[in-house]
Formats: sequence, C-alpha cells, structure tokens
Amino acid sequence: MIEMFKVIEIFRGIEIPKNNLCHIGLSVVLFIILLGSFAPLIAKDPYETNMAKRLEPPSSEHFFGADQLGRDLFSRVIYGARTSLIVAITISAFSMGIGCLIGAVSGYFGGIIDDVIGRIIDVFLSIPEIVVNIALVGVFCTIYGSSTWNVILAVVFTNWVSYARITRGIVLSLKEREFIFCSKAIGAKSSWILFKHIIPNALGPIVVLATLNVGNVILTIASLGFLGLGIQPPTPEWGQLLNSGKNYIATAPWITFFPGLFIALSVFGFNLLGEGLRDILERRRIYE
Amino acid sequence: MLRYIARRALQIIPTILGISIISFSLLYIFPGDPAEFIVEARYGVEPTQEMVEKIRIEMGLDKPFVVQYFNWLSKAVRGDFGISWTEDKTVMEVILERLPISAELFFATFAISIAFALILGIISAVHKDKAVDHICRIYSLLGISIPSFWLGLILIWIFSVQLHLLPAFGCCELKHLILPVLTWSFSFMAIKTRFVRASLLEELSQGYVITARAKGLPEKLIIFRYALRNALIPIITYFSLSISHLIVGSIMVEVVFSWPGLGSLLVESVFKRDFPVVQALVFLSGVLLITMNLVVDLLYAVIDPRIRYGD
Amino acid sequence: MRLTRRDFVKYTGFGAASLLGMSFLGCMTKETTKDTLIIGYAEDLKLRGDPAKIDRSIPKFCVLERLIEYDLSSDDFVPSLAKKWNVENGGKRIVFELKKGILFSDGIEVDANTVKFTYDILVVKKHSVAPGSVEVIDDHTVAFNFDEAWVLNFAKLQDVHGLGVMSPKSVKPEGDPNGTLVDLIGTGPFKVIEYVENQYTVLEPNRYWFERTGLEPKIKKLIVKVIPDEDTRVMALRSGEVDVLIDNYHGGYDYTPRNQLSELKKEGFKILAKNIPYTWIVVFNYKKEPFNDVEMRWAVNYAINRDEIAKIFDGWVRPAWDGMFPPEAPGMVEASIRYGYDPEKAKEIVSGKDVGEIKLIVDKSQSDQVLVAQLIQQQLKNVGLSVKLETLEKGVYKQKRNSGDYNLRIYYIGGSERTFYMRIFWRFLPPEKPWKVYMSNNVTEKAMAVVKEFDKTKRRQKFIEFYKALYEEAGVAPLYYEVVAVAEKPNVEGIKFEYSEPRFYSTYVKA
Repeated sequence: MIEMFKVIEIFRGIEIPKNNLCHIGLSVVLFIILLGSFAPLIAKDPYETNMAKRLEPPSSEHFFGADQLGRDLFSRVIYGARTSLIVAITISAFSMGIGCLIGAVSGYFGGIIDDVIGRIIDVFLSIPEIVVNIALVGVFCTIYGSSTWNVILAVVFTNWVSYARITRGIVLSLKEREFIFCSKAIGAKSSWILFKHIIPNALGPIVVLATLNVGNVILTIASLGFLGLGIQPPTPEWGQLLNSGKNYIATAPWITFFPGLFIALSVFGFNLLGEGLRDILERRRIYE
Repeated sequence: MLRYIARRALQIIPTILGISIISFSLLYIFPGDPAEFIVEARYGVEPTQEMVEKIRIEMGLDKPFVVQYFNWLSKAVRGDFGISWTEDKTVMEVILERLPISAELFFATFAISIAFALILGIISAVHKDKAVDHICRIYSLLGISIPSFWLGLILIWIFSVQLHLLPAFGCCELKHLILPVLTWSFSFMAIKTRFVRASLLEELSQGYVITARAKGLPEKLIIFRYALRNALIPIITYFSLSISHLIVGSIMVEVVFSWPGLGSLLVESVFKRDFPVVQALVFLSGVLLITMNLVVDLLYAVIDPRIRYGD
Repeated sequence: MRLTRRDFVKYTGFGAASLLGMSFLGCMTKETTKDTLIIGYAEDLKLRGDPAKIDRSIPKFCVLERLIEYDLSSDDFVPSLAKKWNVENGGKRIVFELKKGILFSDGIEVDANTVKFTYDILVVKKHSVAPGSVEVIDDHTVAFNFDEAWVLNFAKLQDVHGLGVMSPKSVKPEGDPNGTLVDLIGTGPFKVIEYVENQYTVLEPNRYWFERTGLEPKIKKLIVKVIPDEDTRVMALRSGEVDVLIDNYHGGYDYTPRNQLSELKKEGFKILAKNIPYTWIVVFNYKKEPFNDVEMRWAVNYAINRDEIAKIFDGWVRPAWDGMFPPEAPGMVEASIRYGYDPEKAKEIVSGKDVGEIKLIVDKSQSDQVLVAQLIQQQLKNVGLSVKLETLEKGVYKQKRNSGDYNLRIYYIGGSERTFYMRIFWRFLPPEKPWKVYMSNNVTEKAMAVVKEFDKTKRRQKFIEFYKALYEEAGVAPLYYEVVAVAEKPNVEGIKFEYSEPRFYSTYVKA
C-alpha cells in the first residue's frame, strides 16, 4: 500500500504539458481493463453454442458476428480481454517479483554474487525469448497437456531478466550515493536499507518497464495462442480466436479481424502509456 | 587490438555455455521415456521393451544427465546435433535444408526495411515535431503493437482472397515473397525508423552542427554530409544486430504464410516433438545472437578507437 | 527542404509502383498445362526405405494392385489379380490362381514368386495384416497360410494397411523381403518417374495396364505435391497451385477439413464425396465411473443432438441416427436401430445419479474433432453434466488414452470399405489394447461370430446380432458418418471412386 503511494508521489506535481501520449495510452488501457472487468455485464455467455447462427456476419444481435459453433464473437473477445489481462498481469507480477529481487540482491551485495548473477542475466538476455517460450510451452504441453500455467511458467522463465537488469543497474548507481553511505554509518541493516531506500527509488523506472512489459506479454500470449500452444479452446483467448478464424478468412473474416484488432489496441495502449510515463520520468530527472 | 578481441571473445564463452545448458535441459523436462517416444516415431508401432532398450543404449540415454550433457555439447560445437527423432536425417541436415529459404525471406525484408527506415527516419528527424514526424512516430508505435500474424492475415484477405492478386502461401518465387516481406517489414521497419530518427537527432544536437549552421553552411549539406555520416555508425551497428532476428522474428510470419523456413521448423518440431531439432534451434539462435553482438562490438571498436582504449 | 520532400515522394512512388508491378508479374507467370494433373496431399509417399511403409494412397492405388478387392455393396471379395481361389483347412489356407499375362510397368510378368516376395515383406516384419506364410505351388498358383480360420484372412489381403503386388526389382538387394525400396514397380495404371522426398512425386501412365484394360490414358503426367498442413493445402487449391486435393484416410489426421468443403464449393470448386462405412463416435471409458453404468451411457446418447454436430460440416456428413454404422454396412438396415435425441430423458437419468466432473479428451491437431468436442461439451452441459474438455497434444493424448485417464474421448469405428472388416478386429476383438472401443462378454462374442463366418448370408445375420448387442449395451455414442472427399478445380474431369479410393486413370484437365 505504502509503495503505491510512493509511486503516485513520484509522478505527482509534474506537469504533463503536451504529453498527450500518456493520456491516450491511459484511456486505452483503462478501456481494456474495464471491458475485462465488467465482462459478465457487457457480454453474453462466451461458451454458449447455437448452430443455427453458425458463421453469421456482424448484426445487432451479434455485434462482431458468430463463430463456427454459433458463439457470439463479441462476448468471446470481451472475455478474451479478461483472460489476456489476468494472465499478462500475473506473468508480469511474477517476473517483477523474481527479477527485482534478484537484481537488487545482485547489485547491492556486489562481489561474487554480482558476478555470478550478472552472468546468468547475460545468458538469459542472449536467448531469443520467443524461441524459448515456444520450446518451453511445447515441452510443458507434452507433460501436462495444455493449461494456462504452462504459459505463465514458460513466459516468466524468460521475462524476469529485464526487471533484474534494470533493478541491478539502479541499485548499483544508488549504492554509491551519500544517503546510503550515511545509513550504513549509522549502522542500518542491509535489508532495511534495501527496502526503505533502494527499492522505493527504483520504483519509477520499474513501473515504466512493467507497463511496457504487460503490453509485450499480451503479444507473447497471443502469439503462443495463435500457434496453438497457449490457452486452449473453449476458453476464449485472442490469439487462439485468430487462429481458428484463419480457415474462414474467405467467408467469415470477422473472426480474424476483431480479436486481432483488440490485441493491437491493448499492446498499443500499454506501449503509449509506458512511453508517456517514461517521458514524465525523464522530465522529472531533468528537474532533479 | 588483438588483446581486445581475445578478451571479448573469451567473455562470451561462459554465456554460450549457459545457453547450451538451457537448450539441453529443455529436453529433460520431458517426462516418461524419450526412448519410447523415439521408437514409436521411427517404427510406428507400440514400443516393446527390447526396442526401447536398444534405442536407449544407441542414443546414450542410459547415462547420467551430466555425461549426456557433455556428450551433446562436445558434438554440438562441431555442428553435430544428432539425428532427428522423426525424420531419417541428421538435425544439421534438416536445419541446413531450410536455412536458405529463411535467408531469402530475411534478406528481402532486411533490404526493404533498411531502405525505408533510413528514408523515413531521416525525414522524421529533419522535420522534427511537424506533422510528418508525428505520423512517423505513430507508425513506429503501430509497428510494434500490431501483431505480425494479424497483419499478415489481413493482407492475405485483401490481396489474395478479395483481389486474387497474390498467392496466400508457398515459397520461394517473387510472387510468394511480396506479402510476407510486406508484413514482416512493417514491424521490423518501425523499430528501425525510431532508431534512425533518434540517432540522427542526437547527431544534429551536437556542437559541430550548431557551429556549422552558425557558419552558414547549407542545411542539406549539414544533414547529409556530416550528421548522417556520423549517425550512420550507430545505425549500421544497430542494423547488424538485427541479423540475429533471423530466427526470432521470422517465426510468426513463416507460420502465417507457410514459408518453409527455420521459424516454421521450430514450431513444427515442437508439435512433432522432434526435440533434438528444437534443442539445436534454441542453441543456434542464442549463439547467433551472441556472436552478432560480439562482431558488432568489435566493428565498433575498430571504427571508434575511443572504445578500444577506454575498456 | 523542398528537394527532400520530392525525393521522398519519388522513392515511395517508385517503391509502390515496383511492388504493384511485381505482383502483376506474379500473376502472369502462372502455368496452364492441360496434360498434367497436380494433386495436393498431406503426406510424403515414402517411396524409399522400408517397402512396408509406403504411403497408403497413391502408391497403393495408382501404382500397385492386389490379388482381390472387397465390394461393400455385395459384401463379397472379388477377383483382381487373382482369377479364383480355394479355401482349405477350414479357412486357414487359401490357394489363389493368378491371372496370366499381367505385366509390371517394366514389362516383366507377374508370377507366383513375385506374389510370394511381396507378401513375404509383411511376413518378415510381422506386420499387422501379414499372413502366416506364403507358398509357391506353381508358376501361377500361390497358397497363403494363416494362424486363424476367419474371414479376416481375406480382409488382410486387400486391406489398406497391406501391400499390392510389387516387382522384386523394387528393392535392393533384388528379391530380398528385407531389402530397401529403391523404385516402386507395380502393375497399376501409373508408374513412378521421379521422387523427391517430402516434396513431390511424378508419375506417368503405365502403358501395360492401359493395354490390359483397353482404356486410353488422358493425361501425360501426374504430380503429387506434399503439403502437410491442412489449411495450407486448402489455400494451395484456392490459389491454383494444385488441381485436386485428396484425403489421407487415417482417423481424421491429414485430410481436407470437412468444415471447409462448403466454402470451397461456394467458390466454384467441385467436391466429390463418397459415403464410407466409417462413424465418428464418443468412446466411453467403461472401466470406471460413471460410464461403467449402462444408464449413464444411454444418458450421453440421448443428450447428443447429432443433427447439430453434422451441421458443423454443412451437410457433407450424415448424422448417425440410424445405427452405429451407416446403412451401407452389411445388415445395418435390417438391424433397424435408431438412436434418439431426448435431452429430457438424459436429464432425468443424470439427476438421479451423483456424477462428478467428466473428462473429455481430444487430439488438438484434428481441427474438426476439436469443434465437435466443444459442441458435445455444451450439449452435455445442457443436461446437467459437468464436462472438462482437454485439447491435448498428440503424444499427451495417447498417454492419457493408454493410461485410461479420461472418461470420454472422440474416436472412430469402421473405415473405408476395404478396411471395414479389419476395423472390427481392431476396435472390438481381443487382445485388449488401449485403443479398443468396447469389449464385453456379449459384444465380443457376437463380434467374433461375425468374423468367423465364411458364409455371406449367415454372416449378415451375425452382423445384425452384433449391432443389436452393441446398441443394447450402449457401447458407443455414434456421432456422424464420414465420407471420403476429393476437392477439385472445376476444369478437372474423370476422377471416380472405386472401392473408396479416387482413381485417376480416366482423368483429364479441360483447358
């Protein structure tokens, strides 16, 4: 809770003059979040089949049309927002937890720990993420069948590094600053210093990273879903909906069009928001 | 100079080892008996105990994990990744078959992206903050937001289904190349354009540019003969880094257009559970990335002496 | 500044123009040949390596021929390369007399030794449809010895998993049943000219076959292109890269997705479909709760709306209301079986029982069955059953099936006409295996009685008893009857079905 206030404090009091990016981004993100949260109120049952309405084009009854089993595409897309958001935020949260902790420990304690962890971070940074994600999800699928946890585990496996790297960098630079030195002189414990001083100061860039990261993770989940590796039907997921629409592109292009539109919209929103936040942060740094 | 090269080269060895460990271990999360699976895939019958044992010994699956890892690694550095579990070929043969096909798509995309990224980036930087610039910036954001597989399908719908102008799939003639290249360039270019713009802008804010302007040199001369030349260094090195996207970026595009390259090979092998191929691809893509980084670093050091001596 | 803008316009204009130009160029370089037929097919034809592993389609039906064939409409085994035969030893030995003057595509005559060679390949590999042993009696007489005395002995000799007569020169070393295939030489209407693994095969008419049958070949070349992904195959047909798509019949893997046939027809393609005695069913794991209870199995049968399921395929398949096999199956019509749709009754049964969550597993790679499974899940939900659907990757699917870790799964019984009998064995007869569909004392006994009966009329009666037993025990829940389909461009003529396979010997491509 306190951390949340600290976050707001960082951004408070800064003018956002011509920075429309942030505004547009924020509105798009909020829109998607609202859609996902209020799905049961806005949309119908995404699992209900109705063969009589199979492959119907968009109409007043089915805003985005119907799919191969007569299910309302609009509902599936809205519930898909819910799925994508929850999974993406879960992944980012886990990645942040693991990554920031490792990065902070590495940067703060230095020495051999830092060397070893630094190397590990290097290795992970050199692996092409999506390749490993595909391989891992594929392998997990052969063990556990397909489940959402496969996707979460596989993506967290590669995703934590960006958080670790940033945290480590920040911690390294902060470590040398006066107030840390003074705290140590007074005899403060390392863990107290970490939590009270370092992490709050690192929050700004981490929030920016997290925002951009959620956007990227949504894209990754959708890519995995498109390849048939992610979340399985009948649970609606945007990438998987796109994949199923591929066959009907000649006669029912709406199945391809709408899920993809929402993927693009979400990623776009999160990227804009992240960019905007980054701009604000830099402006603040200039004032400091 | 040589010392610098040697030092940098040595530095990447632990990283490569790390990647090899990860690639190799991917297989060992696989439960049950790899030997059983191989028998089934190769002979198409229910595996009997004797067949499984035979395969197990043949492939060295009876030895402990560490021993297997070193066996694999010692062969891998020589390019021997073993035999594919589903085809009657070595893994390297399977990969080399598809490599030129991926390369064709990649180089076409690369060429077009670079050309347009340069043009758009320069225009965007030169006309900073005007309408053109904003459009380019929005395009950059769109480029990374719009999923390439969605864009690909939309282009297929427009050009193949509606207009019947271009084929929706296949390789490797010119007409098959157009849509995949367009799709891939769209996102590829977006990132590059931003970078070109940023580099050029940074150059243009340098002291010598201000001096040159004060001296009254024509703007076009400043941009093209001086600023751009200097900005080209980071731009070229950045573009070279992108070659490592050969496997990575191509996956989605190759799957959408059924382009039989390395990207679709990865996805197919994962589905067919041909894990030696998956291992090899993960390892090779990691090595490629690191090597390109190294090459670029070295190039940079050659061009810019400050880096050599400062390290 | 003005120059820069003009440059920009210049470059983009040039770029756009060249892109457009290239795309038109692409159009113009399309070939239009009239004497070549290009077939799009899912699998490599496997014409090198193990001769027992050649692909089940083009090699076996365009290049090779068998001693006998099976005619479903009369439930008879009919002569092909064999002229006549004698059944001895109660059915464990069949002696065939070969027709004379049948030539391989290289001009050599078929004789008993070549027949023995062909079937020895299956014998040495202990193949699932191998005879026990093959004897040469004289130049044109061959005897097959089997372990059991049943009708399946005939079925094995023409089953799609078996082989057709091939020349000993096809393998190296020549005439060795353990040899490797180097060139498939058969007696069929086409012969192989060129084979590139995993890419394409080129075939030409075999003039000896056409001489023998008195027909005239109308195409000069047949090309089979390998396109593993089903969606890609359909796109290939649409874009004109191939002229025809044919099915690979093995349980729904690698065929033309039924749910796309209507789209293709709308776009002007011709679809040829032949009904086959093949039914997609829901298999019960009857070894454990809740489907060890026959009432629960009936509940599922009542809950499924087969019309809706068939609707996924827009009328290309027939809903399985009138029995677990389509009316063409021997004795099916006389058995007078009717599955009904009665969700109220199903609800009644379910509400009286305490049923936990039901696991329905389906193989992810079969897009049609994934759709069917989702629909079934909803239909069962409507009668109060909670169904968890697991779309599994093929390996995991097999694992779960083998270990019995499921309650329901989607599978098929029957097959193309020629495989109908062997499938009775593979689905209903011992020994117990994970892929068997339903075995109980009563049903298994009745199924065994069918295959042991050599007399056609008596066998028909036994079939009826078998069907009725299976129906009464609700051993399976049939969904729909399949077809084998060919999708072709409108200018292709003369493809016809013979014994469930499309034949190309009278095919031609109009200009």
